[in-house]
This record gives sequence, structure tokens and C-alpha cells, in this order.
Amino acid sequence: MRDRGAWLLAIAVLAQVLAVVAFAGVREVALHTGREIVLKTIPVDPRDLFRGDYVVLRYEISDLPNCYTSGDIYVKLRQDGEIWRAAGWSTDLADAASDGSVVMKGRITHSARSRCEVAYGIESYFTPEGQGRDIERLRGELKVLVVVDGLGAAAIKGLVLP
Amino acid sequence: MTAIDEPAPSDPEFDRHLGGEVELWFGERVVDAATARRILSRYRLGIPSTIVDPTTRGRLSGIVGMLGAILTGLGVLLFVASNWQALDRVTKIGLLIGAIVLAHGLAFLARARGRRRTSAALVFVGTLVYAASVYLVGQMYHLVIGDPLLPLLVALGGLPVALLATSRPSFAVVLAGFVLGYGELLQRWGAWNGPDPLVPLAFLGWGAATLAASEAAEMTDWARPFAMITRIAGAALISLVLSALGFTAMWRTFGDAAQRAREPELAVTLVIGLALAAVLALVPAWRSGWRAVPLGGALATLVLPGLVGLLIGGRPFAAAEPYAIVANALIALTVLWWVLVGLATGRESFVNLALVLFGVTAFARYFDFAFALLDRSFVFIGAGVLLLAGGYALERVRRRLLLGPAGAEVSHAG
Repeated sequence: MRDRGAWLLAIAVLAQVLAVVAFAGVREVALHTGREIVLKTIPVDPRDLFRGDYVVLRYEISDLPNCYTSGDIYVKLRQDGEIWRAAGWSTDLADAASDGSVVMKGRITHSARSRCEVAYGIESYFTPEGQGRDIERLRGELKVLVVVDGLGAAAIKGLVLP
Repeated sequence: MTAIDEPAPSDPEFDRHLGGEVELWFGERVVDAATARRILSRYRLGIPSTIVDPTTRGRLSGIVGMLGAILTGLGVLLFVASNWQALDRVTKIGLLIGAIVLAHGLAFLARARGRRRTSAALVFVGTLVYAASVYLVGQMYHLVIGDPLLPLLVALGGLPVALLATSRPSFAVVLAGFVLGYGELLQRWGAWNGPDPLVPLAFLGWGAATLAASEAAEMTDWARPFAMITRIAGAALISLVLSALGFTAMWRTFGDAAQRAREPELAVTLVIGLALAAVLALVPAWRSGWRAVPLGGALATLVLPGLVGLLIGGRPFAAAEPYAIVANALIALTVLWWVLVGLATGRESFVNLALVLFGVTAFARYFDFAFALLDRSFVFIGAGVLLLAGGYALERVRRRLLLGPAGAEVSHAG
């Protein structure tokens, strides 16, 4: 009975290890297989931009015009030179991706007067210690290299410094 | 005749014989260290270095060992932290996994050697290292701080270890993870364009379910060690929601609940929480043969969310003040409920929780609307008298419980 308890505990610890590995693995696969796009950031309230050692990011595509929905949203992206910009939206992934567009999944956090504020889960960038202030000074000129998988999930791959 | 506190007359042969005897008695555990010292002191004899309280010796070595572990751990953490950014992702993950395995492996070894306290401490360290690992991996991939996946992963991964190792501190981390994760999810499901009244109601439902789960846990051997921490978590959730709802400002922010856009998951989890609270509250009442105290507790667990739902969802009042009065009356009823349960079951923790809720509410009300209603000096006097009177009454109940015959709380907590 005692041996059984020890084995179960060992399995539970192994599950913790596997959870950490799987958590990192899923993101690693997305970074290596996803479609790379470059997004332009826009200035954020400087009081909120730098918190400790991470930078709060806001993108051009964070503010969607002609938006009349709530909850999850799939935003169609179209390349304009180096930068990718929003070209439309849908509440259905298949509908948004029907014309072969790159689609990014987001969540509406606020809506007013037919404009939506959308969060894509890529609004934080953790910086090496002491470099946050340098990045803060680049606000508005900063571009972010993002990867998007087939389901529209996005992850930050790196910063594109001017 | 010699008085008991006077030193005994000296007789060298008797002293030598007694000294040897006392040392022998201590060695054979006929007397403990304190008694041996008292006997030797009474005859003004020297105390040999062998007469030392073993628990004190164990505590001292434990403290030194703990300090050593903290210093070593701190050194390793500082070394890793100062070089963290320079490490590649695979090395980072390898280090985190190594730390998890090391903490739990040492806990296993300590348990095998009968050092249960060291083992329990190391299991808790392992849980903390696992939680830190989840957040550090999230940081490596720039996940947003408020991502509910992080605390939920901590909770789900930590739960089996906490249950199997009967680790109460680890279980507390698990509960905190669930609460944080659910809070983040609720924000996502219902926080568009201002606060949704269903969000505090969902928290209240799950708080009631958690509180009821603590009663159900008391009835099963394997879950009993977690009953106290579950009760505190449930009561803390209920207290937090009720204290927040007592503010007049809350009434103004809610607006019309029925017209608000929200994800269906919010309503689904609200219903699940309330249903769980009902089942978990009614099962102990049913198993007790519908005795008055468990039945009353079950009814209170069900009635409270219902009343709060009516108050914030139904909006029966056209102004903030009557809403605040009724909301605070609900808090007073909850305080009364917990005091009565504490008295009826002999569980001091319920009275302590009532004391905390009362204190928090008294402070909250003071900062809320008392300034607008009364002259400031009266506000100070009134708040002070209220706190003193309420605190005195609850402390009396607490002492009665401590001095009373019911000592169930202590045995359950162990």
C-alpha cells in the first residue's frame, strides 16, 4: 500500500515535469512552424508601458473599426509592404480564412461606437533586465515579429528594432 | 521541617548518590530533562551536560538545517537569476525540471528516512518550484501576465501531488491557482464594457461550493486534512465578494445585467458552481439524518447566493443607499451564520472567519459612505465603538469555544 502511494506520488511529479515540457513544447512548435508576420506597434500610455522587466505592447490591429461583435474574433491580415494590417474580421475561423488570408485570433476587451479593442495574447514582451527603458523610448517605431499558427493563435518571436 | 521551596541541607555522600541516580533516571526516561534539572537545582547540585531536552536539541538542529537550506537555495537562485537571460531556452527548461525533480526527490528521501517534517517542507518547495516554472516558461514565450492558463496549470499540476503527499501548504497553492485562473476567465467571459454582476455572483457560488466542500471533506478520512484550508478558502471568497458588494459604488457600475453581452461559459460555470454548492451542502445534511445544524448550514449556503443574485441581478432598488443597507444586512447575516455554526459545531475557525469578515466590513463601510452621512468626529467614534463592540463580542464567543468541551477543531486540524 505504501509502495503504491510512493508510485502514485512519483507519477504525479512526473506529470508536473510533463506539464512544463508540454507547455514549452507547444509554443516551441508554434514558433518553428507558424507563419511569420511583422506587426507595427502604436504608442501606449507611458505610465502603463513599462512594468518591471516587461513591456506592454499595443498594435495597429488592436483597434478595429466597423466592429459590431463581442467575445472571440478572427482578424484577417493583409501584407502592406513589410507590415501586416487588419483587412476584415469574422467570428468564424473558416469564414475568415476562406480566401487564404492569414488569420489571427483575438478577444474583444472593449467596444464602443462601432470600434473594438482586441487582445491577441501578444501584448507583453519580457525584456532582459535593464533593457526595458531602451525599448520604451522606441514606442511608435517598434515592430514585432509574430508567428501565427493555422488556428490563428499568435506568439511573439522577437522585436524588429528600427 | 523544611519548606518545599527551601534548599535541602547538604550531605556530600547523599548529593553524589542523588546526582548519579538522577542522571540514571533521565537516561532511563523515568524523568524528563526539566524534572531532572529541578531536582538537581533543589539540592544545589551541578547539572551534567548530558541532561538536555531532546526536543530542544532537535528544534535547534532543525532551525540550523532550515537556515542552511534557505541560504543554499538563495545562493543557487541568485546564481541562476543573474545568468538567466544568458541561458538558452532548452537549458532554462532543463534547470526548471531539474529543480522540480530535486525538490520532490529530496522529499521522498526524507520521508523514507522518517523525517516527515523535512519531507513535508520539501514537497511544498517542490510545488512552489513547479508554480515558478510554469510562470517562467510563460515569461520565456512572452505570455500575457493575466493569461488564465498559467494559474490553472499550476493548480491542475499541483493538485495530485498535494493530495497524495497530504501537503496542506501545497493544497493552498492549488486553491489559489484555481481562484486566480477562474477570476481571469470570468474577466474574459463577462468584462466587456464594464463589470458584470454575474462575475461576483459566480465567485460567490464557487465560494459557497468550496465552503460546503470543507464540510463534506470532514466526512472522509483522506480529505479531512484539507477541510480546514478549504473552509478558509471558501469563507475568504465569500467574504471578499460580500465586502466588495457592500460598496454603494458597486450598485452604480452594474447597470442592467440582462442586457449585457457575455460569453455563455460565464453562465454555465455560474450554474455549475451553484449546483455543486447545493449538492455538497445537502449531502452532509442528508448523511446526518437532516439534523438542525448541517441542514441550517446547507440552507444558508443556498439562500445566500440566491439573495445576492436578487440584489445585484434583479436590482430591486432604484437608489444606491437602500441597496447598500440590504447588502450590509446580508454581510451581518453571514457573520451571524458563521458564529452560530462555530458555536454549534465547536469549530473556532468559523468564529475567526466571522471576526475577519466583520472587521473588513467595518473598515470598508467607514471608507465608503460614513463620511457623507455623519460629522467626521462622530464617524471616528462610531467606527471605533462598532469595531470594539463587535470585536469584543466575537472574541467572547471565540474564548467560550476554546474553553468549552468541544475540541473537535483541534483534532480535525491535526
